[in-house]
This record gives sequence, structure tokens and C-alpha cells, in this order.
Amino acid sequence: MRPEIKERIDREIREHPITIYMKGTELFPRCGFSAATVEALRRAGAEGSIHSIDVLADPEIRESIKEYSDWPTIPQVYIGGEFVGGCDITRELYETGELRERIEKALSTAG
Amino acid sequence: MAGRSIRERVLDRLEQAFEGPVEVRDLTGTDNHFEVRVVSVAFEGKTPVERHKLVYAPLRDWIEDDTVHALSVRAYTPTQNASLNQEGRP
Repeated sequence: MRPEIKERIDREIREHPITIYMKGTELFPRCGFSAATVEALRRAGAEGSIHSIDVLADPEIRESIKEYSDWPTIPQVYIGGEFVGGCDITRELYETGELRERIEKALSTAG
Repeated sequence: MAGRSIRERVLDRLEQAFEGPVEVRDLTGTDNHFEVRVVSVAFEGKTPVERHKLVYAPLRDWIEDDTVHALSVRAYTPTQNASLNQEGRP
């Protein structure tokens, strides 16, 4: 992964409380797993605060993000600069209520 | 070996990698969207991300070359699996 790409991802997930690397955009997801993940984030209180990156529009990010968190699939969710997981884990955290907690904490510290 | 479905081959690899019961379901009938359910002591004390990485590891090449296009993972410890079975497992 090129250092500039790593720096860009570092900055992106630090600057935005809730970031999702997905196929398509938050408004127009182009994959069922990406759509379900955005939906879980919205329901957990992230509506209006989701920063989405369309990996279909950026093949280099698509590959680099898999290396970045050693996670081979898309979507990938980052909250408060930390890797949360893909679709399954995000939905599991939604069901336990932990997703809402992490979103609220990230939004509050973002100031 | 030829002619065996991707589903069966995914099942083989996971059964070799984990001592507990493994199930692999074809989600769409296209033999490339799967839900896998694995029960193993290897998951004890592990975060969800770590558990999923353990399940991804033996399938990494197939995920990267899109042989496995989509993979939904349910990873449980034996104790979790036992309690799920009482409640009628998901």
C-alpha cells in the first residue's frame, strides 16, 4: 500500500466519527451487504453523520483498505478511528445496542 | 475432486481448520454467496473481528479472487452454541 494512501485512510477515519468504505454511496448503495450496513448505522443514530467512501469509484482504495485492517471484504466500518467490522459484526453490535453506544461516544467526542 | 461445488469445498477447508461443527449455506443458489456457521474453542476470549478473521483465513484466496463473492459469518464458542440451542438457535 502506498504511504500516501495509508496516510489518507488514517486521516479520513480520524477526521470523521463514522466512516464506511462501501460499494456505492450511502444514498445509492450498490451491494446488499453495504446497504444493510448503512441501514444499521442509521438506525443506531448515525443518520446524517455517515462519511461513506465508494470503493467502486477508487480501485486503489478498494485494495488498500483490505490491507489496512487485514480484512478481505467490503464494506468496512470505522467508528472513532477504530475498525469495527463488516456487515455481520455491525449488525450484531446493532442488535446488542453496542453500536449505538459507540456511535454516540464518537459523535460526542467529535465535538 | 472436479465437479464438487464451491460450497462443498468451503465446507472441507473449514472442517479442516476447526474442530467443532461447521455449516455452509448457499445464500443465493449461485454457489458464491455463503453463510457459514462455525463452533470452536478457538473463538474463546476473541473479539468478533478476531473470530471472523479466523474464519476468513482458510478462505482468503477464494475471497480475494471472488470465487467466494460474499461470506456471512456466524462464529460461536461451544458454550454460546449450547445456550443458543436452548433458545432455538438463529
